[in-house]
Amino acid sequence: MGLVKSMFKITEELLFKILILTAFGIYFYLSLQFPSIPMQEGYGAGLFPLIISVSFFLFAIKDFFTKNKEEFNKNENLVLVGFLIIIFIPMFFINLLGMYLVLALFLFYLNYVLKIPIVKNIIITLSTIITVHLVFVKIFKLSFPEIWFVE
Amino acid sequence: MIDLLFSNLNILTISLIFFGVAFGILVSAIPGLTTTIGVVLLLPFSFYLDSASSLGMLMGVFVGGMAGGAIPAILINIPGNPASIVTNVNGYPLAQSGKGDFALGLAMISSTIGALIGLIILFLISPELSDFALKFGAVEQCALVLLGLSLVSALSEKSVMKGYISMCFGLMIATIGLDPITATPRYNFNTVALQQGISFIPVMIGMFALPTIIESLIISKDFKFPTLDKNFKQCLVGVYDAFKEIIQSKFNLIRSSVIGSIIGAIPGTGSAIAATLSYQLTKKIEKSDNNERFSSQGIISPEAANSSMSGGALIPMLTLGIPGDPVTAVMLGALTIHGLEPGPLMISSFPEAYYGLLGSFAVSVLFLIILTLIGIPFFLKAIRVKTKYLMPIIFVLCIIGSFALRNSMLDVWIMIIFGVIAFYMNRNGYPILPMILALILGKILEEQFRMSLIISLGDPFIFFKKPISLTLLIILGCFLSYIFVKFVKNIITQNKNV
Repeated sequence: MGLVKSMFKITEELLFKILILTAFGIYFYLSLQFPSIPMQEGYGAGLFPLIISVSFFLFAIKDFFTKNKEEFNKNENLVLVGFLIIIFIPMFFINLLGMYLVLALFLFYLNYVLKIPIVKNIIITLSTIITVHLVFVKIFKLSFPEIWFVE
Repeated sequence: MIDLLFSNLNILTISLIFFGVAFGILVSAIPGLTTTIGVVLLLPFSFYLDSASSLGMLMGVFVGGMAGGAIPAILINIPGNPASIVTNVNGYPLAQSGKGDFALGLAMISSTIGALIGLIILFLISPELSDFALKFGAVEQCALVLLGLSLVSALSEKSVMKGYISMCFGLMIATIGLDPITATPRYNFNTVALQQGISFIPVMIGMFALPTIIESLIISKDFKFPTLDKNFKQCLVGVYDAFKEIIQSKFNLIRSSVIGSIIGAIPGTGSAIAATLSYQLTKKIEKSDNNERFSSQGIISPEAANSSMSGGALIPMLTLGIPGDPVTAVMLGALTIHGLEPGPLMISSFPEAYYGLLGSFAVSVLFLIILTLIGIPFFLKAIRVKTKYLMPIIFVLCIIGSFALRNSMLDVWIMIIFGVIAFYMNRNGYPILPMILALILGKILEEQFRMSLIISLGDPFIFFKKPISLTLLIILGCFLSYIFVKFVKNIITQNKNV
């Protein structure tokens, strides 16, 4: 009873396991859309995904019913969510903001979270952006998305 | 054969190898960063360099990284990478007693000699293995990849089940894109971008580097190196003493190096296992763990083992196409970027690249000797950089490295998403290596598997009809049975305890 209780207590590991099973479900459903019957070119494109699905299901289901150890750490997950929001929003608008501005935003934010003093933060941000421009754009000829008004 | 070893070397390649060794030592010397992160950060430069230069540079990082991890292990009791997991046990007390330079000298010199022994073993064994590997066709390759993936999944971390789940997840990702035989688009959700599949480079960058950055954000922890109050000359005296001590401990050094090479040649084992096993054996043979004599042995043994492991780990990577540890998994990726396919046919198909890689290894070892002999005092000063200043820059490099692959933001998104997945995988005990390996080898596995079925006109028993594949499958069967028996025994013990 204790084991069952600990298995279904909301923990990070349980949520992760549910995500794994969901991914399996979607993958398995999609793998049924491809032919897996023998054809002239051997078996169809669906055979290999089906084999993976079956093995994956066996391992995942066994793993699902094992004891979960990790507690749900709200604070740590919130830090990660904050990080992802701050990273994803500028990345979504990268064609508008341009690569340099987005990288500068990321650098400034990370330096701020890591408690680097503001003056040092600005110096590090600017010097990194200049180095990135010199090394990757001037030497290695990478073409970054430009800021909208420069385009 | 010897002339091929150094035929690719030019000024640029040699400079990049030197840079790689120094970078490898520095990266591993900074707690929180590993050799794998070092190799991953330099991987995007492969697109802009020729194969000899880029592989030489990565080889330098690999060789330097194995030695550099000992620096924080000895000075602040935190292993710089998993390879130095036991070096701090004896190294840190020595450093505390004012013999940091001596302890570092022991670690660095034994690392260098260990790497040299690993290179000799690699040079002697791999051509023999490769001759045998020429007998491998689609059926045998399929069985071999399956065996390699299973070994890596089962041996990499604590839970075998989680290792296999990680492997299956990697195989799932590998099936995204066009199918290798009939070019049927799969799992691309009708988008052109996903038709090419998910490249393993952004996945690797994200999975190895991003969890470290996220951890540093969460913990906000930083490390500081203590100062070593010795000038350059005094440090050199300590290094010379270490050299004399190593000459006296030659049997320990050779034994540990051979153990390291053997462990490295087994896929999925890695440097931590090599160092620990060799250390335990030395402890048993020396039969003491307190006296000053054992302090030196306890540093020489794991450091020689982890460095010689780098040679050993290259054996399965180059001759069978199965990486021995995470760093060789990344290097496998670098080889494929340049159109080189590591595996049974590597020596015969790409002899220049193969022997060039061995030559780069030899030059890396040479630079390691130079850097370790004169560099210890400089490295002690150079590594006093706070990790919090490095993390944002590493993040920017990860973004640019992923973007550089196809000039596409999709790869940056993939890098971040897989970085977050890896962060949760780490926290919940799911090993990352099997997933990366499955992603790299998944396409080969499927291609060879379906080719085998085409050859046999759809008969799945073809895998049991060929002697080599049958042997490999029997080994796999024995291995899985062993795991199953162990698993059942655990359940019985748990029930008895309840």
